[in-house]
Amino acid sequence: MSAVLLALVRKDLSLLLRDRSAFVFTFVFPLVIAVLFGMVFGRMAAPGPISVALVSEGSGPLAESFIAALQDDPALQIERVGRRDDAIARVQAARCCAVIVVPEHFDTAAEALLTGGSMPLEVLGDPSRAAELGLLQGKLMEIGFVQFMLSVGDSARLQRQSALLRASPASDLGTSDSEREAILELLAAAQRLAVAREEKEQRPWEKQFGGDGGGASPRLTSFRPIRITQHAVVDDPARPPSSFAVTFPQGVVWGLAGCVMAFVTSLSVERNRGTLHRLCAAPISIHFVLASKAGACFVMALLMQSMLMLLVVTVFGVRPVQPAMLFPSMAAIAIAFTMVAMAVASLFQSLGGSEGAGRSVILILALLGGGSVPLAFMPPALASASAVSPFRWAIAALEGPLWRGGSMRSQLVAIGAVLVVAVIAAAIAWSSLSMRRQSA
Amino acid sequence: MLILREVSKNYGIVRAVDRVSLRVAAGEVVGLLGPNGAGKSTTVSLVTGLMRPDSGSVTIGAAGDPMTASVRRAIGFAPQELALYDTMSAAETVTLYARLYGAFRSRRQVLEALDVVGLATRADERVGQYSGGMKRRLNLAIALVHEPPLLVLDEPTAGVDPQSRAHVRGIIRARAASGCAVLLTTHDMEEAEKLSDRIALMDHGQVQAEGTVDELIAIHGTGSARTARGLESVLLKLTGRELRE
Repeated sequence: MSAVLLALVRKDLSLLLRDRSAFVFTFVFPLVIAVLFGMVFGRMAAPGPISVALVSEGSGPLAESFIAALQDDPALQIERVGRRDDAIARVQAARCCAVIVVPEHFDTAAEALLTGGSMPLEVLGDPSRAAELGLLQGKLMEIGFVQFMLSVGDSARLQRQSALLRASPASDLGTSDSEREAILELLAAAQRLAVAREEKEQRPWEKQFGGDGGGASPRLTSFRPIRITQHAVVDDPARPPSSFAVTFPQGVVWGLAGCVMAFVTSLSVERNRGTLHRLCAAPISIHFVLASKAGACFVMALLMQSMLMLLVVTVFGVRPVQPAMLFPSMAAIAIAFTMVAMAVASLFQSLGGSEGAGRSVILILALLGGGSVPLAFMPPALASASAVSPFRWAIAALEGPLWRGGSMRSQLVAIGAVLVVAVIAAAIAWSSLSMRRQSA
Repeated sequence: MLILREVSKNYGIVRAVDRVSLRVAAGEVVGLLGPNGAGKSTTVSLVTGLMRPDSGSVTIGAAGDPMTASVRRAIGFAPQELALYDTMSAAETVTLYARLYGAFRSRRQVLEALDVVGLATRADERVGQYSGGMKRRLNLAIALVHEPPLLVLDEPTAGVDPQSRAHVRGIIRARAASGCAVLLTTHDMEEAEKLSDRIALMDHGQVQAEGTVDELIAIHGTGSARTARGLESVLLKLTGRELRE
């Protein structure tokens, strides 16, 4: 009997692959969607100003000077926010990648810049936007250096720092007496130089370092004028390596929709043209006929997923973070959507019903499940509603091994969710067929 | 080979087949005639195991009930509608059905089966490119490929040209001559008269009359000539002249 089943599966597979519309919707359309969306989303994520919220708890001149430098930097888009909680909410809503908090004691700490102090900053960021956070950190260090060089060129400030140093015992500064004396001599020399330069031209250091900030001496690179304390304010630690890592699972959604519709339509066409009638007259049961259709649908779904995953890895350079889990996920998805196809076929048996209502239902579920707009970009209410779409669980099961990572347990949970979809769909198909049998 | 005993089938309150009894012996061709809605197609569905009778029994040879899948291996069925896959070739189609009926056929055997219906030279063309007559012949080839002892042919020459019709009739006669039992439904009086050893006239789900063409014309006809026109007059006399749906 297995040879008979195999012959039927081969027949169904060849019919589906020779059906141009089914082939295009299952294999070509998903690929076009994945590549096109990948390019569009990739362009959307192209480098631009880094969006940052700024909370100033300090109000001294040094803090204001530092904030002004931040606001003047073209690489940053600074939005001043009054309260820390409001700023964090902006990060959580993905309106900016981080909050910079300038603390109350910023000026006090900045005054001691040449005597071992540093400008304290707090950065509360979204870890999934690691690249932007990295750039932000670099920018802060750069601006910090500029601020440092400004302080070196400010004779009044150098004078205040010398006075501060003289007033503090060496032990308080963590230096020896000889080091303290050396720093005082350095400050005195720097002060003399600053006064001389101020007389000659106004604020020479600002000219040298204020414009592009790229003139810091290599001897100063180990010096850190800014002390940044970082905190995560968003839970999600993962970030897709490229837009294609997001759009290829989206392509799979459309491929699965194509598989389901090809299966449902082929069953309706067989009913309509009498070939199903003829198959049922052969010495096989109707269950064999349905099983062969399901087998063909499963193979198609697996082939389509394999093709897209192979392309995203080999052509678009996405390296799966858990490659061993990719095949079990794809197999579970293929099983689930074979059952979904059975359910849709049992609910919409006529050719008109399957091509009209059946296609519409699948289309809506695919859109809701993240087929066109990724779940991360959906409004919260819509993202919650997407839980009813089996496509959403398919995306989750694929994204895990592809780029999201996570524990083995979380992967198994994602696969389990897909298999729950399979069970629910099988139950719908079974009850629908039973009801039809009873009414017949 | 085929025995129907007091077989009845209802669709809701409509009695489609009403206590039909019929026998088709090996080597015999029995024509099932009747107007639309007479119950011919339901009788064919009962014989081929597509439907279970509400009462009575259908027996295929010594094997038994056609509702049992293995018993259906003894039946070669050519439905009235051209139930073919347009994107498959004739050779693929015949190979598939041979396999479904448990007969594994080599390429040579498949071509021989297609040669019987005159399609061997176009075995690898897609069925969608075939004419109506070629499709009708392929429909018959599928029924013949596993060499069944019982052939059930539902209007096997409907809508084909005279050449194809003559070819199909020749095949049916040859199969019957080799010992195959044939149950044939048709609206074509000439075909029924030329092919059938016996004819069962059906209407309102019942067999109204049964016998050879000569017997039917002698008992129910207005003339004694064994002609298709004579058979048609018998049918009209027994089933009336009002139009059927």
